[in-house]
Amino acid sequence: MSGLDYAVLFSTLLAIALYGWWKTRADHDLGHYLQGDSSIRWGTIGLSVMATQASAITFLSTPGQAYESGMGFVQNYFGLPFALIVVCAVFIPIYHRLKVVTAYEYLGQRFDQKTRLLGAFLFLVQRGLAAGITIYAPAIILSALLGWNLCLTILLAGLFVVLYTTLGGTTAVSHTQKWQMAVILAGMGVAFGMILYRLPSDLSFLQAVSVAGKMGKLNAVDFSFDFQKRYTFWSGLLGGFFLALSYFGTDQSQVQRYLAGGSIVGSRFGLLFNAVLKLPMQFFILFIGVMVFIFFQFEKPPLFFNQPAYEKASQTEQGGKLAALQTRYDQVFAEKQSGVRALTTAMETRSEPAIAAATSELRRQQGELDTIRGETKQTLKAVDPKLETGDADYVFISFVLNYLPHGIIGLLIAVIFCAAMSSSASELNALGSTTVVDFYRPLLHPNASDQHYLIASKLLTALWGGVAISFALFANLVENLIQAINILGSIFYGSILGIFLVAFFLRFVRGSAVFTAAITSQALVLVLFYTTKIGYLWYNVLGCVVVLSLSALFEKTIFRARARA
Amino acid sequence: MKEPSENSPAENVRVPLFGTWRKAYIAVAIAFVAEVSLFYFVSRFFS
Repeated sequence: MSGLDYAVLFSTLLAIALYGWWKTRADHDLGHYLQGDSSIRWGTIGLSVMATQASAITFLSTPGQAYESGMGFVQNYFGLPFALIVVCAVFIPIYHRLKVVTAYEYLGQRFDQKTRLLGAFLFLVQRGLAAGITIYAPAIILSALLGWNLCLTILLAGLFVVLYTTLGGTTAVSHTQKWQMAVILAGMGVAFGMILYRLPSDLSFLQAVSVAGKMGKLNAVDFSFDFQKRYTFWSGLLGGFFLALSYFGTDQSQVQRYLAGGSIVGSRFGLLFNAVLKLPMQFFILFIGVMVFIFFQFEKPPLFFNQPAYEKASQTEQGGKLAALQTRYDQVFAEKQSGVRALTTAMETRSEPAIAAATSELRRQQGELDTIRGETKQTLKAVDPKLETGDADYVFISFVLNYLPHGIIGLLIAVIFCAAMSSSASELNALGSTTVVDFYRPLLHPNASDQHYLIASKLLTALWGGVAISFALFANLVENLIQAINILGSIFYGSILGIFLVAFFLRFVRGSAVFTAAITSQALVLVLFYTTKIGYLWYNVLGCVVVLSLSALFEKTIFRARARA
Repeated sequence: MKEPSENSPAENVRVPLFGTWRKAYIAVAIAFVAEVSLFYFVSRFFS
């Protein structure tokens, strides 16, 4: 990175953080701190909700996923628009009518204190861990590729956000997210334009897309019924619906975003904005990954995208083997370049047999390259058993650092930091609010002043920031960061959603029955997670259905008998 | 934009652009069908 890149990066981050502080500098109102003020309108809510969900992992991992496995990941979001309609129609009117600050307050009003605390506790555990990963994810990748100190990178990503979130609360978070999302969208648009610009001049856009299709990278929709497959239309529609319903309906980091401003119209329009635009946005980010794949059909990609790890391994006794693999890789890649040209020529002639033959040959060559990459990963694993050999998270950022001009590199690193900060801000804001509203106020200091709760909220937000940064400092890299977040969410979300759906739709069920059902469901999901290989999206459905059915069963049997006794 | 009050349930408020919330939800569902159809078309057409 050059001085220009650093200037773009730091000026962007500093300007947004200062804007957040400036917007809330004279505001010392507890309500505004927890719930925002009327300056937050539906556009801000929409961007804020989008920025909360789209973390740095989205922009690092998602293009890499498309590069490796194609566009299938977009199906993960197929249930989202319908979930948001349900949230708008069912959840939002109740939250507004009861004037709750956190979603779990509603559980206290509907059931009892222990069910409220269970819901809030599950949220704190799940979101507290996720907040650490949110900060850690970009830091580990940027530090590896840029040679930055990992701890300093984590502190840079973490301290900025802890500072303005602690000082400004919900209002600062919502307003900064609006500009962070603007930077993110602008940055990704520029990246897409630059990829197209860097493609060979004799290759048209349609030819590039056609090559991607022939290589199997545009498989966005899969209608097969296979429970072992991670992403299909059905798992995305059904599992994704439950995941999104739980995330948007019951996760305080999102609930706090759309309740900000206090207008029911603003809340609903903010969510519907996401219901329409989320799928195209995810498709676009995945498509950027596919275009990076096409770019690397003409420009030789590294044998292993985590180059510092590869170079380190090259210095060991496995260096000879890696060099041999590199030679084979270079040869096959040169052959494949001819293969790509043969395919584009066949496309120009529109000869179906020629296109089929060229496609088959190209796929064979790609398979050979994949085999060599697999052998390389095994060799790297032999050198360092702890090394994470999945390098998909490094694909997009490697492209940015090696092939984009200075200034734009700084902008795209700023995109990644903005995304990390926007997600972390919502998480810390929600963790602090939930701890104060659901634990501190009812259990420790029930009758203190607003000023007391304001100070407690700020201290607890800062404390959660410290927890997240500490977790990030001691975390280890996991297989694929975006999947790690989704898996973690899916383990807990089903049970939480089940509690809320019982609250809304099974009016005869009372607190003890739903509480016992939720504990049972959570235990069952954890056992299945550790003992089976079910696609993780199904845990959302399973956890929810178990809570719904068991709570009805318990209410009609065990707790009915107890109530009579 | 008229805001709902205690006496005017959100469902009764005239919704900008769509008229009612029901129409807004139907518009979202139509947008979903259009988006997935486009993704499917892209998958099939270029494969």
